[in-house]
Amino acid sequence: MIEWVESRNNLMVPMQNGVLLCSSIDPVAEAKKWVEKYIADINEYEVIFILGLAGGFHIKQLAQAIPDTEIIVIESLKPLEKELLSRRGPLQDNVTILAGYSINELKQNVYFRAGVKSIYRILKYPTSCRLNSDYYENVERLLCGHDYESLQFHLDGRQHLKSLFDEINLKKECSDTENITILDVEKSIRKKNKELSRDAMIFMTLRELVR
Amino acid sequence: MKILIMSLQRIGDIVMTTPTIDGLRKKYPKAKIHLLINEQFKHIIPLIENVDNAYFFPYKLIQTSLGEKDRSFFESYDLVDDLVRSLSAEGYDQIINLTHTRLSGWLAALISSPMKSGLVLNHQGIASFGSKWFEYLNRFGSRNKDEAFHFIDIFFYGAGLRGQRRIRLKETEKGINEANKLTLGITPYIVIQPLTSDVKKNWGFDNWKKAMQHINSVDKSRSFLLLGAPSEEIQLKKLSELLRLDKITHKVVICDFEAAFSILSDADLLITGDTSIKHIASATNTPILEISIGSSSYLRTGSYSSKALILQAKESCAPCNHSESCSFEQKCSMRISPDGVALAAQAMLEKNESNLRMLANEYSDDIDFIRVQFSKDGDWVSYSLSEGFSKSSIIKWIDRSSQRFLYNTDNNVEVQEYGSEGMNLSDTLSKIFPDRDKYNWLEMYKEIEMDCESFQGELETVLTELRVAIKNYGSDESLEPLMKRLNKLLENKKYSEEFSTHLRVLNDLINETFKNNSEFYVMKKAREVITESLKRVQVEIKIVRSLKNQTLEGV
Repeated sequence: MIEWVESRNNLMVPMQNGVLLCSSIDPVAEAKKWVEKYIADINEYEVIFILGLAGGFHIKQLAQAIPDTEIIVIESLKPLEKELLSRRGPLQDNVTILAGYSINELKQNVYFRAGVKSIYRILKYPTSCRLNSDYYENVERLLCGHDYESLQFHLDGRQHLKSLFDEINLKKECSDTENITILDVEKSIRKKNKELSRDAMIFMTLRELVR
Repeated sequence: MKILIMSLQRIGDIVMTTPTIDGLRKKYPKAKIHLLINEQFKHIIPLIENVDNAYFFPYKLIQTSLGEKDRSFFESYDLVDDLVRSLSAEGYDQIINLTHTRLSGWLAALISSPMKSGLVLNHQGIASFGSKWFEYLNRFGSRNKDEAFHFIDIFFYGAGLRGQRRIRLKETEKGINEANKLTLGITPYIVIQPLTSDVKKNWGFDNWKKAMQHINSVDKSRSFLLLGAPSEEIQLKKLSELLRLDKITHKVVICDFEAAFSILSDADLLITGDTSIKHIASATNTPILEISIGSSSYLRTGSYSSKALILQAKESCAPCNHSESCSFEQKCSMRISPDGVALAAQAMLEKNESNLRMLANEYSDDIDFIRVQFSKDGDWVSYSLSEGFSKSSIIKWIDRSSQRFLYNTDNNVEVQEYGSEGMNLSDTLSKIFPDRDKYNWLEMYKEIEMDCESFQGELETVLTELRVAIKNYGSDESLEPLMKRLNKLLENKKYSEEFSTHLRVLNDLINETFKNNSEFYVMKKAREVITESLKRVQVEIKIVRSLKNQTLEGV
C-alpha cells in the first residue's frame, strides 16, 4: 500500500505500509548525500543498477551527476513506478525503471540482460532494500553472480566464456558453489593443465590481484 | 613505430623508466611512445617527457572488485578485458615490460604485438624475457644482497639502448606556482622527507629531530622543509611539534609531485629515506643524502644522481625482504646515528669530499658511506668511501664489467672492444681508489689474472666431468660423486670469496632446483650455469689483461 505525504520542504514523498521510503524533512538533501557517497567510485562503470526507486530523488540526482551512464532502477513495487511517474513526469533519458519484475522476468528482460553484459555497479537504496529485503537480496544475488546458478545466467550472455567454464566444470571442482571466487576459477584452469586461452589468461591475471 | 612501455609498480618505479623512455625517443624520434601505469599514480604523468599517451591500469578498482561480495563476478574480468582490447587496438610494434611481476607478465602476453621484451608469460604460463638483461632481472631482481646493476641500467640495456642516461623530468607551470607559494620567504632550505611507504624504511622521528638539531646548531642560515603527501600530514605535524619545542626553523609542506619537483630543484640538500622523492630529486641538481635501512636496496634502486651519498646501515640482515616484518627491532635503523647523518649533510653542503671520506672511516663500523657516480659508458656506479683496496673488491668490478660486456655484445667481439671496456673500467676504478699508484694496480692485475686463470681451469675441469657424466647417464652409475665435486667447488674458500657472483648461481641451482628435480636435470642445468660462468671468466681474463697492458704502458 503506497501513500504519499508532504515533506517539510513541500515535496511529495512515498510511504509503504506506513513507513517513509525517503526523508520527510528534505528528501533532496538526503538524495544528494546518498549520491556523494558513491560518486567518486562510479566513473569507470557503463551501467549502474540501483536497487530501490523510493521517492526517485536519489535517481534524479545520480542521473544528473552521471548523464552519460545508463541507470537501471529495479523496484519491487509495481504501483510505485506508476504513481511516481504520474506525479512527477518521466525521469531523465539515461534512466530505465524495471518495477514489479520477478527474478525470472528480470532474467528475460532485454534491458536487464544488456545491462549485465556491461561493466556495472550495484547501488542499494537502504530504505527500499530494508523494507523488501527478500526481493532485493535475490536481485543482488542474481546481479553479483557469485553462486553457481546466477553464474550460469551470466554465462548465457557470454558465450565465449561459457565454453571455458563448461570445460573447467566449476560445479565439480568448487567446494562452495554458493560463493564462487576467481581463485576457484584459477584453480580449475590450472587443473586442466593445457594451453591457456585468452579468457583463461585474463583469469590468471586476476588471480595475481587477489589479496 | 608505436611502442608501449609497461611500468605497473609504484611512483619511484615509474620515474625509473624515464631514462628508457628518453633513450627510445632518441633512437626513434618519430615513434609514438605510450606508457601503461597503475591508475593511482597517474598524477606523475605531467612530469614525464616524451610520452605521447598514457593508459591506466585500474589496479585498486579491480582489487576492490575482487574483494567485495556486492560486486559482479565478471566486473574485474571486464575491466581487464576492456583495457587489453583498447591496448591491442593500438597496434603496438613493440611492448617493453619494465615490471617484474606475474601480473604484468600475463598482461604483456594478452596485449597484441609482434615484439615483446621484459617478462612475458606464454599460453602455458612459461616466462620469456626477450633480452638477457631481463633474464638477469628475473634471476637476481628479487634477491636483495647480491651485487647487481641498477634497475634503470637494466631497463635501459634491456630495451636495447646504449649510451648516457639520466632521470629527466619536466617542471610544470602549476608546480612552479605552487612551489613558489609554499616556499615564499624560506630560502635557502634543506628538504627532509622523513616518511616512506614502508615502516621498516622509516628512520624514526627522534632520529630526524636529533639530526636536524645537530645541523641547526652549526648552520642556522638554512630552514628545513618537511615534505610529505596529504596522507602524511598528521604524522608530519607531530614531528613539527617536536621541532617547534626545540625552536628549529621549519615548515611542513604538503604537496603533489609537480610542486615537490620544483621545491626540490631549489633546495640546497635533500635528506630522505628510500622514497619516490629521491628519484624525483635525481632529476635535479640538488645533492641527495639517502638513508638506506630496512628493505631499501640501494644497489638496485639507489638515488640515480652523481650528487648522491647513500648511508647504508651495516647490519647483517640488511637489506631485508620487502614483505617480511622485522624480527630484530629495526637494528639497522639504530646503526645510523643522527650525528653521522648531520655531519655527512654538513660535508655535502660544504662540498667537502675529503671530510666525507674521513667520516666514512670514522663511522665504518656502523655505516657504509656509498658514493654514486656514472661510468664513462653511462652506468650507475656505487662504491663505499671506506672500501679497502682488496683483490675480491677489484674482481667484483671486473666481474660486473664482464657481465655487462657479455650481455651487450654478440659473440663476434673485436679485440679492441675489450680494450675500450678496460679503459672505461680503469677510469671507474681510479675514482674509487684515487690514492693508488700504477705499481699497486699492476701488482693487483697480475694477481687477479692468475686467479682468473686458475678459476677458468677449475671450471673447465668440472665442465668436462659434467659432460662425460651426462653423456654416460643411464647406466647404473650414480651422479653422487659429481654432486660432491660441485659442492667441493662451492666450498673452495678462495673461489667463493673472489668469484662469489659466479658461484652463487651454482649454489642456488643446487639448493633450489635439487629439491624438486632429478639429479640428471640438476646436472644439465649445472652444465649450462658453468658454461656461462666459463664464458664470463674468459671475458674477465681479457679485460684484466687489457687493464694490465694499459697500466704497463703508463709505467
